[in-house]
Amino acid sequence: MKRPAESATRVTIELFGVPRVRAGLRACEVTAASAGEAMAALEAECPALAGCVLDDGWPLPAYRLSLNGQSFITDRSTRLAPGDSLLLLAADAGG
Amino acid sequence: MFGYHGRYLRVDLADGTNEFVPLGEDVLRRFIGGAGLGTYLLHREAPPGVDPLAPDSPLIFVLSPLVGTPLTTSAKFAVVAKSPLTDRVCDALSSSHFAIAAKRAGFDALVVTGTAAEPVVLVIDDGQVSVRPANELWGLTPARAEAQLRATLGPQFHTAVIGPAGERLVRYATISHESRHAGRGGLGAVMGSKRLKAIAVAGTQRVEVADPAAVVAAAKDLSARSFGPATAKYRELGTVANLLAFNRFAALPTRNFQQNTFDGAESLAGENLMATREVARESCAACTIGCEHIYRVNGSAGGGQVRIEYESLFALGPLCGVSDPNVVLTAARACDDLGLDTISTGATIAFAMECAERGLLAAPRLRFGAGDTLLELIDRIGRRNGLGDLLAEGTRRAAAEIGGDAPSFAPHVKGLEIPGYEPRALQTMALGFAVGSRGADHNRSGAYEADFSERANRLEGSAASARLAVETEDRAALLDSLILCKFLRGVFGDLFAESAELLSRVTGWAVTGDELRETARRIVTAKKLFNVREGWTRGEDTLPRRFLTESLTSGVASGATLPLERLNAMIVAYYSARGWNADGTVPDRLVAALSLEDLQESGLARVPSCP
Repeated sequence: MKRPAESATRVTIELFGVPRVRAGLRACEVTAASAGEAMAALEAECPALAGCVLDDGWPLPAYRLSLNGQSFITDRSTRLAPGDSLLLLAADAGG
Repeated sequence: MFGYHGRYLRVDLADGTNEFVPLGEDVLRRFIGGAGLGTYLLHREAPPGVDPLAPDSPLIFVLSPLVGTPLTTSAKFAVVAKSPLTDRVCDALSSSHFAIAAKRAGFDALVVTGTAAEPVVLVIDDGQVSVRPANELWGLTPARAEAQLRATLGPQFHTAVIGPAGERLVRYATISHESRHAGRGGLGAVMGSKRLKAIAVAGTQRVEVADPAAVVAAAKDLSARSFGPATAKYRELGTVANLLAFNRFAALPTRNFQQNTFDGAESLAGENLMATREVARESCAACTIGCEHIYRVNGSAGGGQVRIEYESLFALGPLCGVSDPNVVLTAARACDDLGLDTISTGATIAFAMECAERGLLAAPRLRFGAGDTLLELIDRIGRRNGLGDLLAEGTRRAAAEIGGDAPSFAPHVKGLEIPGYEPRALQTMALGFAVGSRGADHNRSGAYEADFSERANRLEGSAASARLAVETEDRAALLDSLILCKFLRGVFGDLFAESAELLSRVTGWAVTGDELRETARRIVTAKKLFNVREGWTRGEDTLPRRFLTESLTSGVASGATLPLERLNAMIVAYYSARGWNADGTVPDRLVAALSLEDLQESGLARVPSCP
């Protein structure tokens, strides 16, 4: 989802399942203008996610990233707006 | 022949006779094993129009070429029969030592027909069959019956058993093995109708594989990959991890699908259960994932333990409006002890709760959130006591009996209760539910994977959803026939090509990925042909009226709708993608192209037995 470019702003990252357990966090706020910047900030804040959930500042294929629970994004350059939430969860949604 | 015994065992409980029947390479290569081979055998062995609970109705246990190899997650078996819940094809899978022991007993499949005069256990010891009285086991929980049988027969035996629910023909009774269940569709009732309490198997007959060194190498590679990120969810939290995520995505069925988010989700979250109650993690035989998370029931050492999956958690929790983890875990354990499918149990009670709140049932204590009533009703269902006798019939039959508007909110497709995926918030999955041959089913259609990705608009399904639904259904058909656990699916880059290589190493056949794609399509269509034979109509491929007329009310999916016209457009596109006729029937040219002609001659067209 392409959105108008905006200056870096505060967004929330919500963690579910393994990312939550590994990070020891339900959610965190980061300053980021794009999804890629947000994930890089998360990796910096939660080193426990590196290599197992995130790789080089982006979710591994076993994980999905949703914007506000409305859509799923695969493009690091996806622009974020103030108040946006990124949801990080396992790709295997079933059970 | 590598990977197979090349025969199945047919036992008639009415007179205790048995015979081995040959299985040719042509059949095995076309249907592989598990759900695929079981569907073929169901076509051959079930008389057209048979009552699923009648003596002639076959109950079929099916192994696969991979069982007994060191390939991780391959110790699985399928149980196949005409479902007493749906009157359509039903295959339910389970795992662990029973599969390995059954294959060593000397057959690729076991077909049980007839009804015994008294409760019996079928014992198969290295190909030698005996039918023994089991009056002392009748009424026992599955766990107690299994323990008693192994104490009597010896630890080399492994057992598949039914609980009190199966004995009483509850239409969603399970078949249990080591606390795992072939759960959906009421195959435990089929077993109970034959007065067959248990099947015990043991043996020493190993099956050779074509290239043992290559199979070992593949097994090592697959095991190594099974420790990676693609299975971390199952290892670290289990499927209960779904609950909070589904709630956030407003896709968590709540209070009989009247709501799509649940205020009490946090208290039931897998993350919280792990932190406060988890006592152990276990795995099936020959599995390197270890997805089974065991929890303390009452948060203390004296309350007992239970394993729970997301589907049990959602069905006995949010769907019934219950947020107390003690109640939900106790309910799951009660279902285990009675031998009840947790999805159908929770969904049927939730449906009854709504009926009571609407005044359609005179049951003043039956209200959403009433945990004590939930526990009481589970016991009544398992014993067919009072209102439990009606609810033991499942939501479709209960709704017809209750009358009024009840059928419009009875949560089932083809009679099978809907799993924990809100169809209006996951509309590719809605299509998968509607067209599923087993009914509403998250294990035969993984279409939710498309909804949880950038490939689909989960709140507004379209004709483009059809190919995504077909793709996941084909993958499931292959995995269920090989058999490999679906929790392994994320480790494959190209499931079909890699599976072809595995199958080739085991069987010696030069199998290709394209061949397995066709095999998967063949198996899905074979199931459809069985349903057509048994009276399927186009009107069955739909969802209850609630889902087509009421919009979602909360969370990020608030306002989402799934109009009938949209669902029908998706269904038409699905039929087209499958190569079926516009009315959902299967054209003769496709029957021929998929080499399924012999199924149309089926129904007691039994092949001769081995000399």
